[in-house]
Amino acid sequence: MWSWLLHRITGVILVVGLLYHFILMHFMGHDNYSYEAVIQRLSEPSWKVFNIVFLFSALYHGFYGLNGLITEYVKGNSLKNFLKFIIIILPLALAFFGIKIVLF
Amino acid sequence: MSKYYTFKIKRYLPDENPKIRWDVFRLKLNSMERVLDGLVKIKETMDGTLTFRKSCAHGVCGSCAMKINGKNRLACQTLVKDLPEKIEIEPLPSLPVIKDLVVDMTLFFQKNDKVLPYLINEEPPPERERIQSPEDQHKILESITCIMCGSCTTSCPVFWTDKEYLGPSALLKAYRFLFDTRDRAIEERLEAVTGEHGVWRCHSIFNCVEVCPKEIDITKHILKLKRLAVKKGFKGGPE
Ligand code: SF4
Ligand code: FES
Repeated sequence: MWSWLLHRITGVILVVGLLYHFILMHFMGHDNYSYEAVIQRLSEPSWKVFNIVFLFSALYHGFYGLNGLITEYVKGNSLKNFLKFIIIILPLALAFFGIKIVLF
Repeated sequence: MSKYYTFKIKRYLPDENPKIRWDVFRLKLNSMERVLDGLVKIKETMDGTLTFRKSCAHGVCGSCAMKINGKNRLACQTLVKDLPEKIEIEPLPSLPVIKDLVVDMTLFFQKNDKVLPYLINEEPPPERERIQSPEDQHKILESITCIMCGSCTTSCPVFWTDKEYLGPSALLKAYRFLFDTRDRAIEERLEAVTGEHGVWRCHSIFNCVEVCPKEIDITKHILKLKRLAVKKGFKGGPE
């Protein structure tokens, strides 16, 4: 149940986050994505928090979706378990690299 | 006004030939007659080996569900005049076929059993019966009208790929008891429907709603089950 609820919540975060991203990057003029502006933004703590929340939402939402697909579509238990293992390891690795990029 | 119709029927007669074949029959039916009348006519006058289930012939027993022109429906509730002149009939999808239009419903009924489809109430019964107010009855009225024909579950893409999924019909049955004010087994029943192959597998595809011959909004009921599970989960109920 919690996993499902989190899927819904991250879905909402993604919609809001994406909207924000689009408005900022595509409709607010060119100044917003010059090199300086982007670097400046990335060094602000509030943006770091936003990016990390967004990163986790995207990873969780995407891989929980894959989990659903595997549960429903994959026949055969060993393949199923293997794939389920992969979709735990892979997002963790991606999260690690993502955090590295955001924070350093 | 009567008219000629062509019935194209998917046949499977394992005793004769393990291969599937399509048979075509042409027959005259009037505008009051239903697909079931056509099938009976074929069986009685053209080919006695044609096999299908029927009982009530009035949309109550749920035994004549089959796939007619690509959609699961009751043969006894589908007027031929509402269909094109070519009528294609197959058994319900995704269940093992026993013969012709007869499928093995065991899996379907097992799912139903899993949600404990009976009233559970350990409290001593009152002198006469456990009274239910009309308002309380109204809460579950729609779900009570299910005749367990199996159209919904066999139309569900999640069931096609995940045979362990409880499916719309069984979940609707769970709803019928979970929201029955006389029932006392909320925890147990929620436990039964919230497993890996339970409510969370429903992706609101609405195929079930589209085919239900009793026009039940099944998806709405499943969503209410999810909401109930989340609510109970917050209070420390089953996962
Ligand atoms: S919900 Fe509708 S389609 Fe499903 S079994 Fe009941 S009557 Fe048939
Ligand atoms: S024969 Fe009973 S529902 Fe069609």
